[in-house]
Amino acid sequence: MIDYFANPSRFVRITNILVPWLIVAVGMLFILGLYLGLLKSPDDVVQGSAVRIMYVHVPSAWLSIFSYLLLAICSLFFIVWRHPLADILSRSIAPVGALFSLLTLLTGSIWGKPMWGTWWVWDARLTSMLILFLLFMGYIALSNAFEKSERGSRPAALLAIAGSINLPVVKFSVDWWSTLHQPASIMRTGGISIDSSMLLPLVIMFLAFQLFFILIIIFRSHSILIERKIQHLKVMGKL
Amino acid sequence: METVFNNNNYDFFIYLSYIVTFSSLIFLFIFSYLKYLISKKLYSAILEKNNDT
Repeated sequence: MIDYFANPSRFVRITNILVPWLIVAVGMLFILGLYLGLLKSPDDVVQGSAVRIMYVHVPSAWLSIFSYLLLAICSLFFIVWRHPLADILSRSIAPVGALFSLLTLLTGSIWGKPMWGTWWVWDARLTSMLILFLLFMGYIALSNAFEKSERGSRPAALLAIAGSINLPVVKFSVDWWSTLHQPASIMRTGGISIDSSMLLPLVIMFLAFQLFFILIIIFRSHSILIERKIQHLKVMGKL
Repeated sequence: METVFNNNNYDFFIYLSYIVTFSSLIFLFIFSYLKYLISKKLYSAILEKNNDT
């Protein structure tokens, strides 16, 4: 199956079919998520209406962890099999993942001010998320550090794989250390501890974010693929 | 809108977080889509030119 989708022309053909459907689905899910999150979901007994920030903060956080995991997997594929599509996907994922981790830090900060009374603390969860953002930035810097961009792919992939050690730290930091950040409410051993009236908008927003991520990765990977084709034509002297 | 407007003083923080998030997502979408369209058009123009010569 991986071999089937790893063919760049087939990848472009299949993803081109998906694009209009994804645009419609993302638009509808965002509208529904905003409606449920801002207008329908109840206030939290402790946080009041500030709980609504959770509907953009938590999906951003999940997606930044997911995108780094995907970046590390694609980088591993590139290192082991040297597949150009794995490199193209890694390069497409990194800036999007960086944006989502930055959004996690910003929306978390905006939530922290009214709830904790401060914009930032050097808490284990916050610090490990900042490190995740810096790892994304490191990947982007390293992959574009060379005149011939492909030369940066291997060191950047190695950095991405090494940096994946930070992922369990981000996830379990609230369990391993005594932190100001609240513990997990959904992906935890004791089951979901959040009410369905709040869980529904959260899940819908997460789906919207996830499909949006896929859509942007399709756009970005197609652009990089075309850039590589143009570069190849230049090398062949056909330009 | 009642739920948001008739609440406490957290409105500023709620709106700020949604504005920051959605303006970033809209910017990312427009930027990526335009880049995708431009590179597609550029490549087809190059292919056409190559076929002509």
